[in-house]
Amino acid sequence: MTSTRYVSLLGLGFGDCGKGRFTDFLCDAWGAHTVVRFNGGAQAGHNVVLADGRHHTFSQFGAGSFHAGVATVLASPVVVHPTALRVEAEVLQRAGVPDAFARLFIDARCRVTTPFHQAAGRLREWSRGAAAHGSCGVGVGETVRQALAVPETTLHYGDLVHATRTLDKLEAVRVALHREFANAAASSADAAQELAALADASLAQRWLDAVQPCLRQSPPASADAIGERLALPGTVLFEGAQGVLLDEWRGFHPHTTWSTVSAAAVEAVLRDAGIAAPVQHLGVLRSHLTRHGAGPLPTHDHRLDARLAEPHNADEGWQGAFRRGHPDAVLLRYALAAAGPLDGLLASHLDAVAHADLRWCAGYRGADGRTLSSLPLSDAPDLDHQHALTRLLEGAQPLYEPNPVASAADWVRRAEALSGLPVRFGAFGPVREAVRARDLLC
Amino acid sequence: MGYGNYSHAAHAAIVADRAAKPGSEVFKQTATHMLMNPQGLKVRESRDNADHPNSLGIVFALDVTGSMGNIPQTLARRELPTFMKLLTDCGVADPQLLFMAIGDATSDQAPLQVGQFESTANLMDQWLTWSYLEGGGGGSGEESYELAFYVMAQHTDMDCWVKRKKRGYLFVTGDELPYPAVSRHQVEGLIGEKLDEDIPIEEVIAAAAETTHLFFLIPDAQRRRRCEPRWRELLGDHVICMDSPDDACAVAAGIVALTEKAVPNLDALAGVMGGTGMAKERVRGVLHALDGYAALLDPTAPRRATPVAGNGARSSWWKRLFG
Repeated sequence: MTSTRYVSLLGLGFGDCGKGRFTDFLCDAWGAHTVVRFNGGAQAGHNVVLADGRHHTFSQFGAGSFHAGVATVLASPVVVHPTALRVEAEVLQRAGVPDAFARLFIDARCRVTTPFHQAAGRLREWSRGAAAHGSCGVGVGETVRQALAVPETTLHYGDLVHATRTLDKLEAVRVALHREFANAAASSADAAQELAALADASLAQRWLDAVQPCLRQSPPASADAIGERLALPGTVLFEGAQGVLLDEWRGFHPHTTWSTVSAAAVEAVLRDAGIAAPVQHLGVLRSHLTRHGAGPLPTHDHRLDARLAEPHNADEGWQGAFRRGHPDAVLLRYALAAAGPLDGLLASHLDAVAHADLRWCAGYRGADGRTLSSLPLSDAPDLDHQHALTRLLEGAQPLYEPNPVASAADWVRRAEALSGLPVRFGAFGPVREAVRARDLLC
Repeated sequence: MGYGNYSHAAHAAIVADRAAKPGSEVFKQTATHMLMNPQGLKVRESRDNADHPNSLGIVFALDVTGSMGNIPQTLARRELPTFMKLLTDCGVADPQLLFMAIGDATSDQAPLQVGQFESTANLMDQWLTWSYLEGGGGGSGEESYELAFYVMAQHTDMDCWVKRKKRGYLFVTGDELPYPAVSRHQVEGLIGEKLDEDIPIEEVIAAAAETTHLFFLIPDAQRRRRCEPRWRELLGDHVICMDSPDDACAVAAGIVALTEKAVPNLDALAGVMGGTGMAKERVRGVLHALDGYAALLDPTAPRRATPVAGNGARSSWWKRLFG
């Protein structure tokens, strides 16, 4: 018997659907004491804007951090970037959150990314040229890749307190990656810099030195300590990173991220903490689809790019151009199937409906001329299947409904009909005050 | 989805060995910091990013000759935030600041030190306080200022220029003459690159001016007379004589704000400075230093005619930089 309520927020798009603002909102509305990050790593970018104008792009700290006393748990599948935590903590401090580290619990089993992973990840992405997968250039994917390929060299957050063990692992990683890229020609000054990082035998010690303040302020937490935190009475929010359409197994390969976005992933973390309580799963989506970087987006419309402002997502940098597309019933159905059973929806950017001239895409006409309204979900993880879906989407012509979405209420009714789920809350702007409950949406 | 700013900053910092140092280590360098050593210098980049989409590269090349001693950290930390705050308050988006330290290549151990472009005061401060304040100087009446123009022309790459054809800024502070040419021997020794021949100072200035607004700030009224004419020959109206070395940051911020048209005129600038709580006296000093330059930008504007005497009582790290 537990008096704790567990709620997850799972993105149903390609990301940027508003998980940050809803986490912030629900911390307030439901008095959550803990926000759990259960997937992904430092490549998350969850924006929270406060009514007083303060703004923070949450990367590793939970998006509830503006609320005093709300803790963040980085649970075990998360890839931790300790030095980025330091930078983010400084930025948060300037935004008026001085004690972020004091409220942070990092599972000792979390994998850790290092400058070598980042360097290798970038070199790998550059070497793909025009076939780039899309990357944030942070090293998360490389960290997971290496943990799968050479598990014995995987660096865990708990290792970091043992300097010698850490340095041995780091050196093994560095030497292996340096050897792998030894014959790579530096295609640019940036690439030369990454190659130099792999060649630098002194970098590991410097990195470990830089990690120390993070370790001191958030020492590795045992599974028991995490379990105790999650069992505290009140509300615990599981803040998903990325979106299910980027999921490593369900997304459109190879334009995915090494992160599992599903109800099952949330429940696995809770069971791992020794808690067998039910979780209320909420799917988060925008009124329209967006995508950052490479990969298919069948309903992409340049006119929407011009019409819909995006203050917190620049086209520059690693992730590439930010694209906007019409709401897509095919992808929504697929996302719902991939995410697992949900209890409701949270919808952001409903204010965009009024002026964007959005149209629902009801189906696609494929390259072979046939039409389809859903995508098949594979029974088991199968990257060939996912790759086939990618090709299908790249050749798909969206078939739009004749009339544009007339209003936010119209959008909500349509989304509910498509999903069979209630839209629990809808956001009409970036701040938590712009979130409305169901009975005020229609 | 698709983010990595903190991570980029963190790893870039460590790769460049910029792990945060304890705050007490201000100007404790006893030689050129290895990361400011220009040996093998490639390119210092000022880049746009998600947080700073309209980056504007601004370089301070500080004359660090003279008797320096240990500069209290508080002084170093006071002026930088002022500079950033002024720019922000004027509406200049996304400044990125790089520090160089200039000595005398004919007699100093550390004639040229080069930091990195940074967009937060903390990181800027780090480079500033890593500067080795040797306190030498050749006594020949010249310092190696020409190296600053050379680095600017040859070794910077700024998105403001590359992407938007908007020039960056170089503020050289000093009170002496430049050498007549960039010495190929010095460049080879300091940076490690071979030049075919010496480059006359006029040429290196012309090259730097292609991408950068160049200014020489003279902080020391006493020695102004000796160096000012030569600098006027080289940089014309972009030689700025200050009442007090204390004003260097505010003057530089004012120049950027006026040039970028972030403020329409000196009156508006005075309003912004006043709004930051800057003392009236000091605001007047800054306006006085900027009067000529502002008139150049807007010849129709009325001239201000109230010269303010430098206030000798104000000590500052800028002053001490110039000994």
